[in-house]
Amino acid sequence: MAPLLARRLVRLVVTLFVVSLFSFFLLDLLPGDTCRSVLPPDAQSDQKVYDQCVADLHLDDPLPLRYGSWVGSAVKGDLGFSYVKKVDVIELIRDKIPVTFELAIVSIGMALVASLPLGVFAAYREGRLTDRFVSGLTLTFLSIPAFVVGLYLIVIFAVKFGKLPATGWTRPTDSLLDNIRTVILPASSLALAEIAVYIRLIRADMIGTLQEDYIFTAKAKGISNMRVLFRHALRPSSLSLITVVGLNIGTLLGGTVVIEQLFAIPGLGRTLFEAVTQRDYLVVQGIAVLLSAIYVMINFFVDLIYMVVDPRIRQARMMGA
Amino acid sequence: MTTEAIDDYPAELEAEELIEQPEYEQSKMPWGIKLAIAWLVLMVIFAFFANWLPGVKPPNELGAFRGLDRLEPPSSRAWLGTDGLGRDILARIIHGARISLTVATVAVLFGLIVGGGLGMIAGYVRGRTEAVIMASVDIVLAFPALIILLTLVAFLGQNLITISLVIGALSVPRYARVARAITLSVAQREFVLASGAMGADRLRVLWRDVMPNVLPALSAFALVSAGVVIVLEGTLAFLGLSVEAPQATWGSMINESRQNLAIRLHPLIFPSAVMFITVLALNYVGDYLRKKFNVKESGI
Repeated sequence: MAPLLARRLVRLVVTLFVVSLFSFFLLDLLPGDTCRSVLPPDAQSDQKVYDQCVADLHLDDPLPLRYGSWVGSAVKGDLGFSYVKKVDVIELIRDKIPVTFELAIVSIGMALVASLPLGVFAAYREGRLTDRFVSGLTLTFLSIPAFVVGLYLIVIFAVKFGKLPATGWTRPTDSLLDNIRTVILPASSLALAEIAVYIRLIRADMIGTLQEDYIFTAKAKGISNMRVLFRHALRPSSLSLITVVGLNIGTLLGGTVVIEQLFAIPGLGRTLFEAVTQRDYLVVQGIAVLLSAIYVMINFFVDLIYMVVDPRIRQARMMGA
Repeated sequence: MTTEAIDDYPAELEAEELIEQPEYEQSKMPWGIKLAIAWLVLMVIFAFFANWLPGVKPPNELGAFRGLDRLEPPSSRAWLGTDGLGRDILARIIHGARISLTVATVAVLFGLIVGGGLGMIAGYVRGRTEAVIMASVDIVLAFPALIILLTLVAFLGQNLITISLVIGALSVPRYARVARAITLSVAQREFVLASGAMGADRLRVLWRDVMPNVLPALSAFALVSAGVVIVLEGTLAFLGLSVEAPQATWGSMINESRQNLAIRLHPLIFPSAVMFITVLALNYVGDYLRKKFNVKESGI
């Protein structure tokens, strides 16, 4: 366990290092004088602002020193200054994090609730009509981009029926009911593609599990089909599900950019998009490094959970190592 | 990086799990597959001949040249109607196919050549080379793709080549993993071993014996990932970050349709349907090939 954990930790540190290097060098991709690009046009002629920018970004320092000071302040939560919005980047994104977090969690929850029964039944009826129908459904879901789903949901539920708000966001602290009303459509749009991924995984996993001896035993003891499926057979699949949910968060974070933009939700994704269109480079850099780091950390912890929970993996990996 | 960190890659375990020997049985192609292939061929024809087709070639896609009105419903004059600016939707969809297929082709070729190459080398050469390649691949895989894509588009500027290459580069890890998995099994087959035993150098074995046997199975994955690329480009275009207006792309057409959703739905329905059917066709054919070549999903 310990050496395996150590290797995972090394990999985490290496990956985080590469993430930080990538984000750090983004500014150097800009053509010409960095501060000329970073500063908005109206501020460029101001020599004092320009000098401040050079000082802030440590542009006069040698490269390793520059990287060091950037990482040093990033770790402390100082991601630089938005010269377009005239606030610290961290100020700009701090209250956006819970919004995106809620959106992601709700959509994962929705996807799990929808995909568990479908995946289990598809596996149970492998090769039959139900299975083929569910497989067709997953292919369909995988082929519709989230923003198209979102648009059709807006057309149906907001424009035609007027039941749910098409855009906007209410914080749960203001009104829980309105918060739920504003989160349903965007979360569903994100959930659809996830549902397809989860169904496929659960189905493939369960087909294997259902051939195990202990399932045969459980059936022979006269336990009802439902109980065997959901209590006995599903349990080992839940572990691979955790991994895939973790890996899928990367796609999900990307999805929030377009969905938050479409539904006018003040989250990280929308802020990133706005920064991209306004060429607010330091905000783009800040959000990119934050989201990448979060994603890397999540997958590290998913790996940990996986190792701790499943004794088979723990032992197999240890013997292999 | 210490080699210890990368040694725990469960190579043997995966190879056996992922791949069985392909069986080249001649079975009848389902009609759904034929239909999907026909659709894809149609899109390729559209993409090639957009600038020559009558009624589609510029400036005919601007409906004003043919006396078309704004938001006209489908009719014999404009088969799929016109958009909010009075442009022929069918003509714009055909021009959009050009963009989507260009990005898909460039990105897939890039992923296939670089990722497939790295994966085959890793799977055939093994040892330290494999460990280094797969560890780097895992690190790239640890980045959230669309976030990186958006970030790089912001910093590098938005043009077709940048977008295609960045998407291609982001897909390299997945191609590498799939190619490596397939190679591991191919490399153990008799004719590959024989080739090496007869003294062919490794590069020759890789090129003449391994590659032709990895490529068919890898192409199944390439088709599915072409669908992913089209969705990614569509998402960028929807956000207005793909090629600049007034150049038609499916994503930007869907984006522009938002202004008139309360009045007319056909400017939304047609481009999104074409995009959906294209991606579905790619997924469907890819899935079919994957089953045919017995590449298990967990490898992807």
